Amino acid sequence: MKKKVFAFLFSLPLLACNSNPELETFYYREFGIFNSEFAVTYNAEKSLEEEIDTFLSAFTLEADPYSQHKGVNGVYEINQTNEPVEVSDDLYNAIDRAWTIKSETEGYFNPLIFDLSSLWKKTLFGGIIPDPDYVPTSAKIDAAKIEAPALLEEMNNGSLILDAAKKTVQRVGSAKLDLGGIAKGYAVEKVDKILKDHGIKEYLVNGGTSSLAFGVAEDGGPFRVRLKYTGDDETSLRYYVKKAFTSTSAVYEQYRVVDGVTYSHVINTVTGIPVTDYSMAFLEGEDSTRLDAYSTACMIAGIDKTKSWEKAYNFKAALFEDKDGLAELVYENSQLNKA
Amino acid sequence: MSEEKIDNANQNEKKEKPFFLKHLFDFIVLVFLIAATSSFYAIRAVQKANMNKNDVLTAVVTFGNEELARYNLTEVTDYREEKIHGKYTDMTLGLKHNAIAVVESGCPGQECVHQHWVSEVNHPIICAYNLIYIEIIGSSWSDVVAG
Repeated sequence: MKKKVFAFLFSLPLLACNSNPELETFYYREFGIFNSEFAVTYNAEKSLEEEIDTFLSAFTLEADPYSQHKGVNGVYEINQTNEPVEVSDDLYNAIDRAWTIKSETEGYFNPLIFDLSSLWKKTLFGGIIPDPDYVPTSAKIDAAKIEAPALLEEMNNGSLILDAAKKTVQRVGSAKLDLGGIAKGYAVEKVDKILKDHGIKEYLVNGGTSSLAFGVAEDGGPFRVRLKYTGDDETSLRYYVKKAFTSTSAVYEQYRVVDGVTYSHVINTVTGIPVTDYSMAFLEGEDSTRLDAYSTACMIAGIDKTKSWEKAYNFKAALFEDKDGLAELVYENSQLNKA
Repeated sequence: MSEEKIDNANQNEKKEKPFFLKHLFDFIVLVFLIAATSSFYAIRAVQKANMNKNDVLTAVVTFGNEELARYNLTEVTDYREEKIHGKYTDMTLGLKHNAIAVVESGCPGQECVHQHWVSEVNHPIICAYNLIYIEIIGSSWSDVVAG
């Protein structure tokens, strides 16, 4: 017995030496993923760039509703027909999640928003890709407001038929699909899974700052997350986050002010017009795809609905209203860990 | 005294010794091993903590694929401004300790100006109109921006 005890004790220092092999910090950066920079920083023994890049390259093309890509059956193809279209596992899963969340949010989030979204992108920003020389006018806004109700009705009457066995997606009606409201969240979730499957613990997945996945920081502790638009470098609101996802939606990302009214890229699915009572929503939880969708849904639906969704889907939210160009906190879940 | 009596006397002596004294050498070895293992972990923890204290933040400004300028933000003590020229307009960068901002830009969208002060790695300032990309690099990535 004594020999066994001593053998164990002598092996302790050896265990200490081998428990933390030297890890290297890897950086993955790709610009243009869903119109932002997608960055992954992680400590690992080897690079996972190829695996991450393979997924992101494919999914970005599949989720693009604006362009046809050779050899890809994606959202663009789904939008050209009312016949079933066979898609990849990832695209099917993303669409399935989006359709489920549409039902959960009673339509506050709706992925059949393509036509409404396109209308307002052209009206406010001069096109799908913002034209820096374009200036929106009252007349253009008024024209869009006249067109919006019909597109809203189309969206609400539209539907999808999903066949899990055949991995097909079929549109019913004229409304078209746009995964802009969940694509980043889904992509971040998938990359997070790649890292976890390789046993990586120290990592940050940054889907253009709006969708984030946190492992633990290099010291094993939490990350300190500063919320943009809530103040300057010293006064901004900050939270500690680790081993979780966050999603932020804010009017300040892309907006235009016309006649004193702020119009943003967040379409209000109740009115069909991109004006919301809340200027920003920050969510923390365990499901990145859901958080991405709910971050805009919460801005539209308000505090009471947000509280009921928090309980039902296990996330924590903070909502903000605009005050002189900054996001002022009006609701905060008490379990968010303030820094 | 017979051998048997001496043996019995020795055995009795051993039985009477306290447990701690009987196994003194064993305890010394045990304490040494625990101390050695704990010290190893403590030194690694201090090393990791000191790594973050010595971080230097550098802002790298690129125009297209060409690096225009590089500023050591950690060495900045007083606020200062730097002028650069993007594809179409001039821009003014504000520099303060461990932070950078675009304080003025001739671009129509002003998104780069709206980003205000940035002091985190993983949070670039981008002026797409002028093809200017400002990225902070450093070894600590535990401060993050969401929005």
